[in-house]
Amino acid sequence: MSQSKNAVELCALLVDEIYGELTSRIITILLRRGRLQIQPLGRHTRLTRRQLKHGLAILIQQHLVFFHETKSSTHYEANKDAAYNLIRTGKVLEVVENKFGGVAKDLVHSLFLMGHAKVPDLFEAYESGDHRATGDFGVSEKPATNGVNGHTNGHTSAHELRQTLVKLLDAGFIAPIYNQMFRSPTDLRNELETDLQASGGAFDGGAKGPKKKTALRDKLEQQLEDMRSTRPAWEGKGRKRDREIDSNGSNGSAKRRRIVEDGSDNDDDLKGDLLLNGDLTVYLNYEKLAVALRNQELVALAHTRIGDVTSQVYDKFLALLEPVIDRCQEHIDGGDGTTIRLKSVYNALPENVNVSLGIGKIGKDKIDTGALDRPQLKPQSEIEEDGDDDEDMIKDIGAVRPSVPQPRFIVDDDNPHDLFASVDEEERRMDDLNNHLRVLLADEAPFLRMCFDNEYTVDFPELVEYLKDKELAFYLRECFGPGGHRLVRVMQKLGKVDEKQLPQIALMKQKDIRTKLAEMQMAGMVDIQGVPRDASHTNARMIFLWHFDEERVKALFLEKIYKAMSRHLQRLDIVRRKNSGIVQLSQRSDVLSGTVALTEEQTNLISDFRKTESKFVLQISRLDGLVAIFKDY
Amino acid sequence: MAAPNVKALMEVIYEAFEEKKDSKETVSQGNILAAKLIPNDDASTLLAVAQGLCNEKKWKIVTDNTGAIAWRVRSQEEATKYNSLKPEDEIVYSFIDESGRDGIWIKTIRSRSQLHDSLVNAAIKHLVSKKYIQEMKSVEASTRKMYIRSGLVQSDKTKGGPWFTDGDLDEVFIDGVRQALYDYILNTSLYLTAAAQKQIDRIEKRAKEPKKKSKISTHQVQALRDRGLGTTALTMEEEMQRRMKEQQDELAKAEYKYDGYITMPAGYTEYKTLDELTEFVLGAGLAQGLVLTAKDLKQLLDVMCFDGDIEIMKIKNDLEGYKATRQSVRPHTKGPYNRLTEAPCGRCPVFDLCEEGGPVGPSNCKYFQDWLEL
Repeated sequence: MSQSKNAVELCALLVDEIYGELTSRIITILLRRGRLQIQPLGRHTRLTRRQLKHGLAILIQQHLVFFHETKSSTHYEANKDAAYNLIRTGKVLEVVENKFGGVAKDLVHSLFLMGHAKVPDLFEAYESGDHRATGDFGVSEKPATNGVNGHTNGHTSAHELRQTLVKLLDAGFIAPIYNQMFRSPTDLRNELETDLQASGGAFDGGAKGPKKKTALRDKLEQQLEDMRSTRPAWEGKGRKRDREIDSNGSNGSAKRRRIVEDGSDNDDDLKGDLLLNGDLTVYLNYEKLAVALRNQELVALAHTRIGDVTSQVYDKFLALLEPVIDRCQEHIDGGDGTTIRLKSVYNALPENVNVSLGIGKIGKDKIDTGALDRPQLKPQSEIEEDGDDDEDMIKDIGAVRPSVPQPRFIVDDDNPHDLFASVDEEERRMDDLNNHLRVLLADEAPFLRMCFDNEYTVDFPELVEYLKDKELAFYLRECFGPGGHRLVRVMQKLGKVDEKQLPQIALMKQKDIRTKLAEMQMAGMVDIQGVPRDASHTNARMIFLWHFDEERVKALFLEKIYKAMSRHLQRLDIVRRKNSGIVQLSQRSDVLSGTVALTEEQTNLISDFRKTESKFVLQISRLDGLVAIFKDY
Repeated sequence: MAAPNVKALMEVIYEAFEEKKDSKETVSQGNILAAKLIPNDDASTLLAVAQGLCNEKKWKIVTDNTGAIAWRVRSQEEATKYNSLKPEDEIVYSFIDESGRDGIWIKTIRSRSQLHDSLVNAAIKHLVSKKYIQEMKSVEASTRKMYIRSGLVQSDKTKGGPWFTDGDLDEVFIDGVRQALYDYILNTSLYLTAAAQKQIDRIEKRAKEPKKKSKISTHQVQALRDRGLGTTALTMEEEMQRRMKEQQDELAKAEYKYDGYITMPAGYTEYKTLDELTEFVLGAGLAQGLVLTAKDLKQLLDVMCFDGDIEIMKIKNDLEGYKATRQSVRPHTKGPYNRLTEAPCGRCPVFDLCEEGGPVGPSNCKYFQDWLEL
């Protein structure tokens, strides 16, 4: 992957911010120059070998650098994604806190500072209570929640700690380390390829011809995927109870799963004991955390597009789906083939969500949900496979799918009504809930897809694509006004458009259009192509076609965000340096303990500085939200 | 055998094919012979007759689509016009005539006729003064000098449909129709909750309510009298207050609307279709005497879709209805924001140059300063 200047700059700044200059210098060189051995690295960084080793040790501990050992040498390579992920710490802590509470947040914070750690060490670090790092985003300005002092007073019992860790491990936010994560994906791939070719069989002596090459590639993907799925499970069992890896790997990629209602985890204690005995070494799994962050973003989209109540329903829905999704962009793995049943959403929905609100009340004669209540196939998916997998899936998890098509406006048939005291109430709520799901189904944004009767899934790639389009549209509207936005939408829909036709289509004046398009061309957003009508090549005899290259604009946009983030960080640094005196003063032990009181002016200065700092931090984390949409989800 | 009376035959044949005048249809030799008007089907007589008609400008030689010779019929009046013209004028006029409802660019006349510029200009001047031709404006090329035969209605292609007046986009008209359409779609496609409706009504009622008459201090009376204003007029200060109040009311209403407009249940069948909307526009008398077809309205609705104000919802049987988006009711205080443009860098005019150590950079950026001081 080519590294843009802006991205490198940003990563270097982030590492500098959190781990200091030494590490930042090393990683900058590694990002700029690609993989290096230690000698050239020393030459470029002008650091001594001792410094280098020290720095690299930290970077490897924090997963910021991959290494690759051969018999004669060791190569180091920067892990760009990990470096970027540093910016997400604040958000991650917030998510964890919302889900699992303060203890979990502090635990994750400790782990963040340590990179990866053995469980006992992690607990020890937590107990020592030193969480006051200054650099992480989103927490530094909130002293009250920093460290254990904020809420636990250092009295978290070992039992509670262990339970929290078990929860985090179960959720996948914290995961055991595995061997391959210290090697770069490319190395891993190359190694596998060599192995495959050396092992004889179909690929003996290299892959020749396009067919064989594709076959090789598929096989490689398959093996990489298997490798991911068979990562060591911390309980010593298969990582996913309901996941089976197809041993011959022929159709494992299209596996469907359905989430079955889980019994409550009574064995947490048991698992907790396991933790302390074993040599378990854990790390912070950003891939999984990104899934949680993506869900937030999608819920926000549902909120703006449809409304409050529906977005709450959607939130619950995504939360149910979360456990089976290991990372965003997982579609190769078939993770989006997982379905959620209406009943499960119903059970998971908290009582305080009033599903009877949020949708207009209209007589049933004006509603026809016929088309919506039919299962839909994935837009581009292969119909045959879908059918086959279906059957497999049912066998796999032993669930019974209702074989008769269900009539409209009906609750789940599996659910015997007489068990409930107030059937009517129950039924109405289910009905209302179903209506919300239908609204999500019918929306222009592909929030949901019905796979079977009352079973839904989310096609994440399509949905994320939609989200990207929306964000880009907002950006264009802000930068180039409604006119520019309209023109781009026209081009998005129609492809290349003749300049002469634009006034008719966009209903704008020719002159305005030309000015706007020229402006946007200067910004690199649209492009023009001249097609001569005859050999004379005069302007009068040319057809001018305008077009909008979405991919390029997205890349440009991402670069812009990177650059903006860098500038924010740099400016923040300047602000910090300017105020370093007063900040140091405020952190003196006698001031903290209250022996020396600050003057009013000093207090004001500090609060101003804190405000400014939090403004920067907030803005950076908002920008990160955008990057995530365009890069990670 | 006596020589056929060519003059008389010309009359007869012209009348026989007169219904084809001013149309694209042509008369071929086969047509004439089939009409059995030429004695003995004599080719030389036919030739003489055709030549005669051409000389009188009643017919014009063309090649039809098979490549054979054919004639186009002109009306009597047209023929008189042609006959009254000088040769150059006639050439120029024939080009304009042939271009029909699309009109023709003066430069094209020049290059095709290969006449001298001054001759063409003189001819045009003459023709305009005789009211045979008139200038026209084309949407596609508004700066070009174009001419069209008098009395012809410009083609839609050059006129740009009902949204254009004299070759210019009629923005006031478009905005009017658009607003009416949008309001109609909004009211039929989103559900306004009773609570929100109540709040909005309350605000509107309060705004209309006559102000309670408070006692005016003697000082104020003085001031009013000094300005020579009647007692009903408001002082400047009050006027300002009233305006502020109005703005606040508008905003409050917008916010209630944003919260209050909720989506219809999925599968709602009453989203208005293109046909229904066309009916509405025509019924509401918005068209100002213009003929607004469904196709024209579709053009406008497409633009509204592009702008994100409305979107297409599927109703059963492949019918498509229009629905207002929630984004379009969102008050400006709530966005739509973009996370990049709300930061100073997103709107920075010199962002490309920005570099630490460069002419502009994060350390000396004044936009950051402004942003922080907000």
